[in-house]
Amino acid sequence: MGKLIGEAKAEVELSAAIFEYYAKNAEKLLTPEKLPVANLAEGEAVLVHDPLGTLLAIEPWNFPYYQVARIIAPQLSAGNTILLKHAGIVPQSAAACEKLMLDAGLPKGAFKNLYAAHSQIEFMLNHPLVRGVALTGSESAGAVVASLAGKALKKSTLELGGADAFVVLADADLEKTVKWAVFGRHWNRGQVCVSSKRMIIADKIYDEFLNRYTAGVAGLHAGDPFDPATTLAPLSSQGAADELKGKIRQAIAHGAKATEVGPKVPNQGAFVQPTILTDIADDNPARNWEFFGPVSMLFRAKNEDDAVRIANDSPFGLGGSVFTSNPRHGAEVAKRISTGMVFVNHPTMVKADLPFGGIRHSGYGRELLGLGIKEFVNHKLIDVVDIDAAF
Amino acid sequence: MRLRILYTGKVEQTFPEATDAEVIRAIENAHKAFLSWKKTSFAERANIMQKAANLLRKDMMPTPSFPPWRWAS
Repeated sequence: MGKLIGEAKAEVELSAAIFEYYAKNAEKLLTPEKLPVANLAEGEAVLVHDPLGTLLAIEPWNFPYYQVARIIAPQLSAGNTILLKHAGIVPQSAAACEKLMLDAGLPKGAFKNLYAAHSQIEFMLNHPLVRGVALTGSESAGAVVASLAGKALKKSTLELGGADAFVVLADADLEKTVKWAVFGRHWNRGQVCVSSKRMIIADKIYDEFLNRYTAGVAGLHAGDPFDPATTLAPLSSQGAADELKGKIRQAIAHGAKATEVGPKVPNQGAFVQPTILTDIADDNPARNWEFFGPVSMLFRAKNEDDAVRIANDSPFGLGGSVFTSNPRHGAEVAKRISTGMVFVNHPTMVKADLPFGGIRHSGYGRELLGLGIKEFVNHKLIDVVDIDAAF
Repeated sequence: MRLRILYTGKVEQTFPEATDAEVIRAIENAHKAFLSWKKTSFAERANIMQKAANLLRKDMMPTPSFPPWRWAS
């Protein structure tokens, strides 16, 4: 699987930071809460946060350690136990995660990797001892698992795709903004749910942005992910590369203009030539797609309202960015963007101490922080009432 | 399940898929583990989480070590 060595190291560090976050904070986050009742006759009401039991975690290949850490660190800390169904193309990572937890001293059985078939997921969700499911993956996988979980009346959280808007206002620092745009679209070879997939550029600076962005993308160096000089890794699989190329062809067939950028990528390995799509008309279905790889969509916004309109005109609602030299105004624009996470002057970031999750087709529920650890707990009320108090 | 290195086309390792019986056993074992794990103290769980973080940093860092790109920060 293609991933730059530096990115792999950053992922391992991020995963460690998540474990550390819950080592330090889980107890505080799940402290029983005394409820301030209006009438003392209601008793001494306390909310406790009990674990639910065994959960199923279905995780993807694009961050084979981080995605697992993001669910097991909070849920094991809460007292739940977990079965892992990892992506089929990262079996070694799945085994390494299991070994890690055993080596760390977790009791046997509390976290188990299963090389389970898709057909076994339904069986697992129907099993009375499995109490919930967390999935990070595609929209189609999310829809299937959510309906199976719904049918079995099990709690589910979904972290699905995204097509994050990267809004550039007319007053943005173009040099720095373009640098972040190239990074935001191409880190982890573009296979990130929060990649900056849709660049929405103020009319006044559109041409200049396009020129600079094209030059920036052309400067990426595709090659061996283990070579420190490489800045663009191959995609995760040939299937992923073929699917992406198919989407480019479809976008062109519906009228988009595609410009291949930079030196020709190697033939060996699942590389895709970095491609910039422009002139994507309102009725081009590609506007609603997630391009999982080095393909950028550029949109010209007439004004700020138009930029917000384009940003929100997406089935997805995961992350997003607003670039401006006026950060306070950027925060105002961020309020109008309809997603789970908006960053001013940065691409969507992934951190151990920031929440993660989206809305609409990007899924539901939140991961990390107190929000994440409380997704699979029973917020149980215990109320000690005076026997003589009024009902 | 086969692990095939795309670049070389070679199958490096195969991983047997879980049987239905193994899935059932894993669920039952996970439940058994839950019954005692839920009674452990936060401090005990925190020790294991911290140990996992330490092991990741110590033993699981990929090499060669040179980050060509800065993680977005």
